[in-house]
Amino acid sequence: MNLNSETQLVQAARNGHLESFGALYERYHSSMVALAYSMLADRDVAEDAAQEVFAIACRDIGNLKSKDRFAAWLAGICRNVSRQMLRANKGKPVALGNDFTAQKRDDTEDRREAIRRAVWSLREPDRELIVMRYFDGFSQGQISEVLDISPQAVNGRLVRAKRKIAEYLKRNGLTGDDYEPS
Amino acid sequence: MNHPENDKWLDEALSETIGSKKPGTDFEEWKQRYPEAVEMLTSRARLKDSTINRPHSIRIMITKSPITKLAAAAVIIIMLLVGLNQFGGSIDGASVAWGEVAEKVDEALTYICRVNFSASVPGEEKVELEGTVYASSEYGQKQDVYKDGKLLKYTYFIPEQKVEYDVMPVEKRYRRKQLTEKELKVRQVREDMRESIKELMSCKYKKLGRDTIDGKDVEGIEIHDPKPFAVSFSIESAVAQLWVDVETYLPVLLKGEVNGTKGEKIALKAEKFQWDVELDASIFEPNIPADYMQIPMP
Repeated sequence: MNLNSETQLVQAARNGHLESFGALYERYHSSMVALAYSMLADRDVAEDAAQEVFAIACRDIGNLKSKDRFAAWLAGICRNVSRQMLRANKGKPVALGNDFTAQKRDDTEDRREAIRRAVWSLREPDRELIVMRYFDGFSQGQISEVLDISPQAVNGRLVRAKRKIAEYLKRNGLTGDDYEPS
Repeated sequence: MNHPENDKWLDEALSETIGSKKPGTDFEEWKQRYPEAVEMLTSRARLKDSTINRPHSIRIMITKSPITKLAAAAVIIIMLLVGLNQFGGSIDGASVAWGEVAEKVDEALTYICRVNFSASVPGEEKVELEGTVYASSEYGQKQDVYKDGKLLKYTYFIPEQKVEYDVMPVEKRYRRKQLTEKELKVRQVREDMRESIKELMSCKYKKLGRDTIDGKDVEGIEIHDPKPFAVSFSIESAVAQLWVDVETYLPVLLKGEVNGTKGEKIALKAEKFQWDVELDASIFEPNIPADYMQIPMP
């Protein structure tokens, strides 16, 4: 990331320069969708949440204290918006049903459901990390910036989160032995 | 499976399950969906060369958003100019005794008026808004704000509860701001015509004589003094006119225009006044639909 360039964009946006805000939108929209998706488990709802996030950021960018922490600030707004949406949905991620059983592990949809279950069984910080990593292939640097943790911490936590997922899947009878890409 | 996290199959499975097509990032579409947010951001550009607001001046303010200040500014300038009556006497020896205009306005418990507002800054799109102000000394104030004929927002100020609401029907969102004692006082002082009158006592006015507006005989005055106008830029010129009904002594039309040294321009018109009309309490109750999302306060 070119920090100076981003700091300049943020400063210009704070001064009311819409195109600069547009550049920040283009840069972070996808990661906000991913972050919202990690909480809401529904792609369409996550896209709505991301739109709200930028509306709030657009309105309140003057309140941003550290211009070099724009991504982390945006992520904070995203978590608030997503939690509000969750509360509106009575606390349950919209895409996860109640009656999952992985009886037909050779079935693609059942396998995907099992993996989704495994991911959403993680605690929130780990889930954010996993979703951001696999949603759109964000780099460690990008994840580090949005989640406001060091790249080393990203790597370590990613490994641990994947281990938890693998263990969850194993408990539910799904391992790499019977995995076939669809 | 000692290190399951290293298995390639898990990476593939996670990518397949979580990954999907890249989200659309159409900023133009987003701008269409959130015009108010865009307006609030672009209005910040107008603040760059701001001057310090005087605490007891007319508040034609462009702060975070000219939209949010539209009706309030209108009301304040109305009150302020009505305050000219404190000079006493009448215009051209005609029937309007300006001292009585202030008393009449003070006595009015409610009013409604229509407001038109425009603001332009070189290099920026001109903002044109219109709205209706409902004010009650008992219940507070409600404002409807329209842009291009479409309802942009409602705002509510409820002094008794020390709270303000912004409700955006198109976006199905609202914001609730609990005011501190200090904020409440600022809000009230900002709109207290007595404070504004003090400021105006040092202004000179020009007599405009008689005219007819909406079938009513009116008399008007004009001031060219920038001193009472507190805007967020350096003023090059300012003018305001107040026209009052010669029979009721109540304002019928108020116009104001302020020009900045760098090409900024604000124009405001308040008209269609209805004084002391019956306003039901329900007008001032936000009644926000359940599916509206509350915008978290920063």
